[in-house]
Amino acid sequence: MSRCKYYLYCVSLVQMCIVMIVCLAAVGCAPSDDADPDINLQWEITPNPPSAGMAQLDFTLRDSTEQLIKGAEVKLEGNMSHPGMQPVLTTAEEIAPGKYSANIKFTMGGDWFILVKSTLADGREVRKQIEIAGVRSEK
Amino acid sequence: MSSQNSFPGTDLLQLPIIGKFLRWQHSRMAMQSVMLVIAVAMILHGLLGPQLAPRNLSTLFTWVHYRGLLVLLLLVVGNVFCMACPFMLPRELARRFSAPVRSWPRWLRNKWLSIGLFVLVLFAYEYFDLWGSPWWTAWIIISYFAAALLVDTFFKKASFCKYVCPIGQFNFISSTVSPFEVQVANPDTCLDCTTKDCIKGIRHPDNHDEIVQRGCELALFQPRKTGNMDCTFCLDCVHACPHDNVAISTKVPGSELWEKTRRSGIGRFTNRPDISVLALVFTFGALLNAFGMVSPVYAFQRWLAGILNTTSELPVLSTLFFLMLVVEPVILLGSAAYATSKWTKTGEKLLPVIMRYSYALVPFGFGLWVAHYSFHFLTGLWTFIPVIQSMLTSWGIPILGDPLWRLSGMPPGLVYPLEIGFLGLGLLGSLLAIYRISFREYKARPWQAFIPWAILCLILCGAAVWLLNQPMEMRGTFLGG
Ligand code: SF4
Ligand code: SF4
Repeated sequence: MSRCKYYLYCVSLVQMCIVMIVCLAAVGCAPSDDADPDINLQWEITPNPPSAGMAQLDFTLRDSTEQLIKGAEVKLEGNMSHPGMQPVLTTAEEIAPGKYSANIKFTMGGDWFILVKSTLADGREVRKQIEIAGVRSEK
Repeated sequence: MSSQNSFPGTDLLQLPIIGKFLRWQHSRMAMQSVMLVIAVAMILHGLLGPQLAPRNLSTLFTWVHYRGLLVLLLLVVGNVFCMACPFMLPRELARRFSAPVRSWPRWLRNKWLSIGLFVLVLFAYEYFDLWGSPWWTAWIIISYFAAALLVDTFFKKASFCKYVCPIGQFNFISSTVSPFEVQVANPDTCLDCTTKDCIKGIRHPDNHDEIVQRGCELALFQPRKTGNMDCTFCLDCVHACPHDNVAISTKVPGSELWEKTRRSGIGRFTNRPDISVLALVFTFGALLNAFGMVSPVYAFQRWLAGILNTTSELPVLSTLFFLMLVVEPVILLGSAAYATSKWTKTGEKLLPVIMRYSYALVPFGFGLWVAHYSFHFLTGLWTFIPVIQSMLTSWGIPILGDPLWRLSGMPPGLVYPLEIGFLGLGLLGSLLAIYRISFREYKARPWQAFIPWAILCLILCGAAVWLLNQPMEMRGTFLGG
């Protein structure tokens, strides 16, 4: 290969890489997991900080006018931040109008997140995510 | 061409279906293509899919399935991942347009760069919590493709595999304890061979510049090749040998660790401080990587943070790495070498003794890597099914139905005996290697040489069992408690 051809080849290779990186970075910035921003979820967990084993998650759901959302059917799925771990599935009970509570079992210590899937009285499905970092492996 | 196979063990190339496939000229490219499709799916899902590690193919496949399968295949077959490595595919295509002209710099023809990268990967894994980030995991895969392409576009032979790739070094050192090896079937045939195509390759009879079949790009000349170190299982030598004299046959796992022969493309293990350090980083890295997953590491890091008077993770993690990859090996190996030198009354310097025995620790280190990675793999075996279901659904092709998020794998209680079994196998392998080295090098006082290193192995194994019994705690930071 001549020097000139070799140079052109290197330049096009570098260009290809730059284009690929820029394109992928652009699309890569996109993912976001905060769905349903008009619904507000406030939560607290007992014990705090939580440990491996049973914990109680109490939360409220409010709409954009800060009104409590009553009568929702709420399913929770607890996952570890590390992939490959079995999720923990449970449902929440409405203990007072607009207030919900669920018992969840943290199978081991570590960073967890809980996916909260609520079916509102009008049939709308709302998804929220709760981050519970640093679940202790021992009490 | 008829095979003169006189090798007594099993030769994979002689097996009915597998053998036929492996002998097929394009078998490697076929495997690489499958892996490339999987890698592209992982990259796309990592960049565009949900940024939840358990629900993303890039994190799930990379940190659970790939690592687990890798070590299990190394345990039962050999360096199969390098054989099917997708990172090599773009460079193969690039080389069709332009052959590299430069040789890899002489001063870099060793393992120091790749050892540095290996430590860097271990460090980045902990520091950036790579297991929890699909986006970063996808970028690591992309960077790997780019690095392999760039290095091998400019430099001849398999420079990236031999001198740069940290995964390759992990595979090379692990495969020293694998049961299969690419080796000469009948050494007598090589004595009469005039072409040596297994190393030189085959050129077109009319156009000498055109290579029809590559010889070994890792500089491993079959008749003088010993063991699996540096062998990518690319099978170029199998395809090149005009006498059909290269086999993939069984060997005694780990036997190459105590052999003192001069190895083609490598030299003597005892003259290679870089490979010796690689063996040590591999072994102590296994302990470090497992330590990073259990509860006591956070208490230890908080204690270190108190001493260093910092809340920043960087100095704390750096200190932890320094303690476990430098201070701990220096103290333990130095003590064992000192005892060996004293008790055998040879008065040897400590460094040659350490280098000699460092290779014997590899089976234990490998046992711990297998125990650790197989835990994640086996307990999360089926978790890829709902992730693929969900990925296809989100891409508008819900052919596999709703995701079955309940699927997982074996219960941890069932995996635990397996983990202990892998560790026990590793310990046995290390003790055997120590025994063989001691009886070869210290004929007058072999047991005096054996005992300090056996004790060292038992201490390491005790530490590993303790680690496996600790509650797991996979957290992104040591702070906040
Ligand atoms: S080409 Fe075949 S026969 Fe010749 S030296 Fe290499 S392995 Fe032996
Ligand atoms: S060509 Fe070299 S690296 Fe490839 S299988 Fe043969 S010995 Fe191993």
